[in-house]
Amino acid sequence: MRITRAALRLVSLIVPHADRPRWVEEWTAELRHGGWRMLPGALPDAWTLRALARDERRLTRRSSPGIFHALDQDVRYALRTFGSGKSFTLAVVGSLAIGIGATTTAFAMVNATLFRPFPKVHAQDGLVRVMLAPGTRTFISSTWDDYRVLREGIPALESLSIAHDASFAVAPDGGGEPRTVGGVVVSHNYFDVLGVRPARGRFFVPEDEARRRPAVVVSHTYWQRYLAGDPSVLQRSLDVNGAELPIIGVVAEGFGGVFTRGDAHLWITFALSDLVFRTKDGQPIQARDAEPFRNTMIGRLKPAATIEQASAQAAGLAQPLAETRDRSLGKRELFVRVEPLRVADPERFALMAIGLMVVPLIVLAIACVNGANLLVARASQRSVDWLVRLALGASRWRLIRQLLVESLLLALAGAALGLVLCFWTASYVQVLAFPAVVVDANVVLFVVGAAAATALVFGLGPALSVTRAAVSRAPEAGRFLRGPFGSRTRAALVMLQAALCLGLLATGAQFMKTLQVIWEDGLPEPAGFLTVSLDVDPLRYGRDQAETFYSQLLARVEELPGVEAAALTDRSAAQMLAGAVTSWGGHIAVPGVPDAPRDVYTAYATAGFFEAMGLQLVQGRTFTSEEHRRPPRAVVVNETFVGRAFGEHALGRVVTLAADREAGTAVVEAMVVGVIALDRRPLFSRLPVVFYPAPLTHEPALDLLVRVDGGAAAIAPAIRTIVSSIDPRLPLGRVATGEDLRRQRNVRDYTLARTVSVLGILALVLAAAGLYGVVSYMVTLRQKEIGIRMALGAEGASVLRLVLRQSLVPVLAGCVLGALGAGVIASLIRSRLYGVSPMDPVAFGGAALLLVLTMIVASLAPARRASRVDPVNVLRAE
Amino acid sequence: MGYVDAHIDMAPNTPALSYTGLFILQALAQGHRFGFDIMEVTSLPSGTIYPALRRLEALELVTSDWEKDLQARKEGRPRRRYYELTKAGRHQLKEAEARFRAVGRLFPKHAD
Repeated sequence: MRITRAALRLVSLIVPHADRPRWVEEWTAELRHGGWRMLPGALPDAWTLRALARDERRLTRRSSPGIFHALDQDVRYALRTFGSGKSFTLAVVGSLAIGIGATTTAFAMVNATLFRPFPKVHAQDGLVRVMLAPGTRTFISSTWDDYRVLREGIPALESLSIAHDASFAVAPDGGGEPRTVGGVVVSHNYFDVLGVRPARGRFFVPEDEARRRPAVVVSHTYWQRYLAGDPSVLQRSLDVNGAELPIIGVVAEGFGGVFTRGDAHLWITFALSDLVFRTKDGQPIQARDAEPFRNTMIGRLKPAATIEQASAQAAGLAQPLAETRDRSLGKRELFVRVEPLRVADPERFALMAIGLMVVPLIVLAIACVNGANLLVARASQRSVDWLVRLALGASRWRLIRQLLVESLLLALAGAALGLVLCFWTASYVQVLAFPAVVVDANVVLFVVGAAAATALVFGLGPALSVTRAAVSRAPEAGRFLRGPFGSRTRAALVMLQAALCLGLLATGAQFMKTLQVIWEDGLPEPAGFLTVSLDVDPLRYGRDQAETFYSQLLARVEELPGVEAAALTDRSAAQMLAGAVTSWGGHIAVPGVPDAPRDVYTAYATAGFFEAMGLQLVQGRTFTSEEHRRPPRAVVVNETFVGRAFGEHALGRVVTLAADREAGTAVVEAMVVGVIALDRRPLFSRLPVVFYPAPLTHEPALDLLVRVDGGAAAIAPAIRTIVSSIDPRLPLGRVATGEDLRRQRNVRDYTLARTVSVLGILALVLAAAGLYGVVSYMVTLRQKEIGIRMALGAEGASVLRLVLRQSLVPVLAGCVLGALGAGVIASLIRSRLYGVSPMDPVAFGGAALLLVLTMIVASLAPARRASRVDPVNVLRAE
Repeated sequence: MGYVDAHIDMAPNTPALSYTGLFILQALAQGHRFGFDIMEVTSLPSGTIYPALRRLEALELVTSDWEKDLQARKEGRPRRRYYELTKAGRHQLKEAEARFRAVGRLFPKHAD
């Protein structure tokens, strides 16, 4: 009989799902009555039923109206049900709003960078960038002649422009304060190629360049901010690097240049390039006679031309261009690359974009799980609804459609709210160094798409399962009410939510911890520390003039009351303070020690540097004022350098310094006069460092560092006065106190860490709300069981423990999973987790504790409700 | 399935009824309600009877239901499904019987 039953079950798989229970029962009875000889009839019977069902479906399909028939009914019905279940609606819409809002904000950032990077540029698809490159990844500087060759030699391009970024010392006419302003030297066709329009006046014409006409174009921001939006701006002029230039035009609002570091505020033609270009000794020179310089060449394709054509034509120019270059290329081959104009290299940016979207997508996933759980709970409670509709002739598809319409409406409501959230956060994430984040058509499209996808994800599963349960006409409504997902699936979902939450929280905590460590690195003690950037190059100071100016400045600053130490350093030291070691400075060799460290961090620093930065001398002395005169004859090194170069004894040893790596530049011998201690700051202890007291070459741009007794900001005006008294045309560059440095540094990383943490908290709130909903639902479902338990003598406390245990076990499992996952991710991005181990116990422990406590709180209320169930009431209701 | 149903062509708008179907209708008319009993009385195998019953039910000539629980429980066995003729089924049967009687009168009996 058991074999017969098994065979029957196997055959029953052929029978249509809806008829299967009845068929099995009927045949079981018949087999019981007639014996095994009945069995052969089961198979043909099953096939017949299947065929009949198929025919019936075909008939009903032909006669039924289209699938979108009476869609408005579904919508109206859905809106009615939302109105009657307000807390449910709010819970789902709120969850989805958070998830969709976060995802949309991330997309808006990606969109701003990849799809619409340059505001006010016309028809960007027709623009290309032309570069000379020795390989496939980098690009090199080019000369004016290279530009001319490229301009004439690519017929596919309508025109080609060239631009060079520079800093200018600018003062408005009428005696305004001189300022350092970012700007661009451009060919006359620059604005025409980009298709930018002027807000006032005009842009350059060929005659401006041909006749060397003094003229400058300013940005809208500069006009508003520093010229007070003067309506007669076209009658005014600016003192730019010592030359008086009339303003001929103002750019349209929103345009800040293309590929400029920071925004550009003024433009001059290459005819005036001697205002910016210098020889090695600091003499002004025209660009066409200058060494290769960094530039950006942008061209516009002819209407019918393609980028491939331009590429091919450009490739043909590589050979003649290479021949005109000197040996600087070495063995590398020269390529001419023509690429579409984009902010970032899409390949490199793709990784960042993915990373950017992952976290918000995780939050959205958690929100969807919540939505699905709540939807299942509510749909199951409407089982009577479904049965009545089925009895009245509704098809399963109609029920599914109803549920999908409800999910879609909820998702759209969540998306609308999410879009509002996106508006708010757009300005906040601006700080992550992206171009302006704007909510444009792309973003709106994305939101709508995200809403639809979300609706499908969290709505389809419940719709299919709930309707299948309804349609199978299960005789006991109780079985139907239990919910189609089953407790195992629900537990798995809770576990997933907990894992994702923990991952986010722990990662955020680790990032925050990392930043704490980084902030200590390399920065001087912030109290009483001030740094001022200066650049005399715009005023065309020669080498001697520059050195005179700076030594005067230093001497007078040292005499200011309250100043404990003052020093001059070059820009590489400034970069170090900003947390970036980007240049290796000079070339060091140690005579007699062939394998002395070659990659050494070198910086120009006067005597007061060490005291200003709080560095301890352990041997020898700092520089004397005589040693400030060039050429440098003394150096101060750190212990790491000593260890690598000399082994031990350093004082009195000699090193050779060269300004750059190329052979043939002046080489100087200098003696080690002092050794600074291994500092707790990793930069000074990890790298070999050499400081020299006089510039090796013409250094027009230097930083002044000052340590004062008391507030650092108070001394800035005094320094301003000293600079004006030496040269009133010279602007101060950046002025920053120790606190400013601390805050400005790693702003991007800080915001990133804070964002991850905030999203982690949001995810936690969502997951807790979800767990609360799930546990409430389970308690409602199992009221009968709980009532029976209590009637049989179970106490409230044991029921409470039971519910808590069942709801928290998946949470704990999720914690373990999440910890593993976050650990894996952390070890992948180890390079950014500075000073914090990938599985930092404090971060993980704290996050796990927060998660578990929150989940306990979330399940407590429904658990207590369960423990207070009155068994009499429950059983009476059965 | 291996067997061929000879279809008796009838007036339009009436479903084509096979011999098997006819036998089943007759058996039902004679009071045999369960699938097993129909098998016994018609001597047709279960693989023939049951598919035919399904088709007759789809054509609404026959209807089915579960027997009373009480009866089955008294006899200590699972409840069975029983079949009976609908009004349309009774009508079909009467028409078929009339036609067969008419067929019998078409040819004179062999006088052997």
